[in-house]
Amino acid sequence: ADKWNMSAEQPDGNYITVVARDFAADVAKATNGALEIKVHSNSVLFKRPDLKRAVQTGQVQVGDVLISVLGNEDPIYEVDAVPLLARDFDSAWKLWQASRATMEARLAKQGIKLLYSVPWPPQGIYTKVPVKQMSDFKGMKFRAYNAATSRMVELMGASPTTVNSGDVPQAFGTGLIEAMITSPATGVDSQAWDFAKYYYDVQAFIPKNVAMVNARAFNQLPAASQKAVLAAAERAEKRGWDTARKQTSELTDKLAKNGMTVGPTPPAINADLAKVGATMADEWLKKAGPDGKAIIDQARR
Amino acid sequence: MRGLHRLYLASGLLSAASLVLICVLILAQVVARNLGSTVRDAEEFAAWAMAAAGFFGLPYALHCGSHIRVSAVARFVPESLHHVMEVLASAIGLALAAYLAWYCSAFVLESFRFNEVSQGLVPVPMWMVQVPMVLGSILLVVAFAERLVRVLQHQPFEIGDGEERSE
Amino acid sequence: MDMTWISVVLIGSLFLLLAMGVWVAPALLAVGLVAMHFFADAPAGSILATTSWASSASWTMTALPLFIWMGEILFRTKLSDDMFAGLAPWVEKLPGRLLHVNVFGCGIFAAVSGSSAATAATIGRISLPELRSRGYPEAISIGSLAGSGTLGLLIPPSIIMIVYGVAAQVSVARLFIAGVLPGLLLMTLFSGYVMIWSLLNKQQIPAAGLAMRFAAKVYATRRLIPVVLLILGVIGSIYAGYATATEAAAIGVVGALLIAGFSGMLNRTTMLASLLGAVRTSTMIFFILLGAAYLTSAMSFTGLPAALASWIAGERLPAWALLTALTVFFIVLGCFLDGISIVLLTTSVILPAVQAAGIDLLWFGIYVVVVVEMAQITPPVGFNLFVVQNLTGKDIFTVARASFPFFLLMVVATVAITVFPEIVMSLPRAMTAR
Ligand code: NA
Ligand code: NA
Repeated sequence: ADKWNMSAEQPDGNYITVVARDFAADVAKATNGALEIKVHSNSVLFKRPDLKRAVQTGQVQVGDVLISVLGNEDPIYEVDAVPLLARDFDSAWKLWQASRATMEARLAKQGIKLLYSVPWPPQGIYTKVPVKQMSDFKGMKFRAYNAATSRMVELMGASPTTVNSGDVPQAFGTGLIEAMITSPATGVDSQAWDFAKYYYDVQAFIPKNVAMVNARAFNQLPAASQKAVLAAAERAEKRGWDTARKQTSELTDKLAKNGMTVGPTPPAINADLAKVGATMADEWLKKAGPDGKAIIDQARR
Repeated sequence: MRGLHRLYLASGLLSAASLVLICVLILAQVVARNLGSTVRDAEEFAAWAMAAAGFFGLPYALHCGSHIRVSAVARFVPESLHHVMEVLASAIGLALAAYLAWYCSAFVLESFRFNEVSQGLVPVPMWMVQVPMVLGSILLVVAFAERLVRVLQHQPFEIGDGEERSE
Repeated sequence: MDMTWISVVLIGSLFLLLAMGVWVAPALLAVGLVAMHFFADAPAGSILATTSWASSASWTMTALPLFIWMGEILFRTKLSDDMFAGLAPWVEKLPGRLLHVNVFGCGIFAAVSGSSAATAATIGRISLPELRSRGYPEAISIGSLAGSGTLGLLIPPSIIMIVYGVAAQVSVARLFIAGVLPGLLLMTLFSGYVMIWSLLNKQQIPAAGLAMRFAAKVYATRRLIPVVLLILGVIGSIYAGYATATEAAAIGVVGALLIAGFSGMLNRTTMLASLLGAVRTSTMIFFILLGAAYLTSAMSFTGLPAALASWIAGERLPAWALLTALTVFFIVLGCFLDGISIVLLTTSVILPAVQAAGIDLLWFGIYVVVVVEMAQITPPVGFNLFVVQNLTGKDIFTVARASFPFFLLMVVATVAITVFPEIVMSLPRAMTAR
């Protein structure tokens, strides 16, 4: 029997890792145990910056990673993190369908086979004080965690602040940051109600974790196992997207139930956000060139 | 051997310089944030400086005898066996350091070949910031090799750290 | 492969290598290699390189060398002498007198540092030479330092709480608050032990200084002003929202440089000496952390800790029996692995069983932190033992023997928070009620 390891980025309670474990169980069942995938959660084996390369060089056969972190290597990887481009699951799914082939081709060149994607819930804004219009963000210390969110925060008039994810609760508590943008999943995982009061369901963008496999390891499998892996990946993707849709409202409710004031984007802000979104999409297209344009055109169809 | 010792010290000084760099980067970040601005990727650069500080420090710390080992057993064995143990320990240290240096070099070469770039605001080629890992681990191999030679010649290797001890 | 057999081989090879006098960090690397090569189907060498890079290019780790540098600068000023001279008149009546500086120094420093090694290294750099020159007995001096240094993990901020919080999806803010009372409990236990020991060993405690009048005492206290300002500056920078806990170390360095500057002791020689001193100590810890990270990765690949944990979890024990079994399990594991590795390798397997037994995950987090504190002072792999060996030149087993009473006090604290969970839960509950 073949034995594989899989490095899962998130801890066990996160549904993205649950999907990974289901995927592994699914494969074991479909191959009658001919291929066993041991899932190691919570980035114990490889952390986010090292995961793709660990798969590429065969240190681990399978792994999942927040795909947009590879954006510096190629802007195509961060299309799902362009703020305000795809703001609901239907558009995010369209964007994924439009970008998948290009992404697959890029990864294939590096000896990696793309397996499936699982979306995070749409990103919302957490604040300590209520906001009604864009000018309320002026000068607010707003946590950003990558180039795109930094730029967005800047365009919103707030001041982008970097704080390591582990330091976030204390940084909120001491006033070092006053706002952040992240999914309700991360908000629930870190129990954001302990430090933030307001949640705005801005649905700025829908980032994804993408599971990938070392192509050489995959090609060495017997044909039956290969087929089983691909079939299981397809099911995992479906399960992942379904779970994300279902969990989003549950997670948002959880924020409310724990005492946060949860609401939609204030209308005045929404109009201004559209402008920010247009600027950001233009800037991304400049980086991504014709391939990027093709993807966005197809997603908008 | 003088030349080698200067090399270990130079490596230690590079480690010290990296420490100062970490401190400056963090302070710049704190000041900038409180003025409503940021230093681009200060966290990432500080992390890379941390790696540089650690790896450059390895050979220097070995030469100063700062790396920790268990000395209790050595006190209860006869002199001749003690010498054999010292030779073996140095040889094992050398082998492991060589293994580490070999794979770290291969890793950085791969970073170069794969055109790996950092994930922050400024895409930095990773091999550039990983060079200290290669240099530090190779110098550690040199230091362990010198130690093995010294021990075989019944000579001391460690120069100590010049600090008082409460023993 | 039989898990017992794997454990025997790995533990045996670790002991053999250490007994031969192989340095701790290479020994951990070697055991990791053995595990990778023989018991895991993974490319050992390239994973070593990846792990080495990932564990060393770490933002969180930067606080460690900076705090150590801060201690090295202060060590070269008269600050430590001033601090002891300022405190001495006030503790004349207290059994154990200045020995309590380790407990309270570490307790206060723990409020800025998230790591146990940094706490022990920084405080020890200042306190051990002073205690020695004043004639305090060695064993209790180093034991109380190694023991109290572990408070860095329990009193917020704490790196291990962040790691647990992420793994168990428990609020880090709550864990931080929940650690405060148990931290104070441990300080009380440690100080109480120092007092009882001193009453039983009166002849070993140096004679009291001249009795001072109250006014004279107050006058002597002026020498504490620089220390107090430094502490307020560093703690204040975090809690007033100017810096994160990781960044506070850099503020500490600036404060130490200011103190050195004002006392006229800042020149090229002391600056360079303090830096190279920091390089030696932090590199030593850095190398062991690298070895530990690789061993952790190898352990995860072999699945050994997870298998042991799932065996315990599968027994479906009632809460008290589960906790007893886990305590023994963690103490044994803590002898060979560092705290963060233990949390990373076992939580995902253990937590479902813990939840099933009706144990609160927030409470369990504090329990784990206390047990991990014990791991810092159990040989052969205990980071505070390494730090104290580095400071004193004493062998780790000697340091471990001196620290053993403090290990037992932590066991007492574990029992106390189990019998009276309110010690952990009351503050976070008050926070929710607010
Ligand atoms: Na602490
Ligand atoms: Na230990």
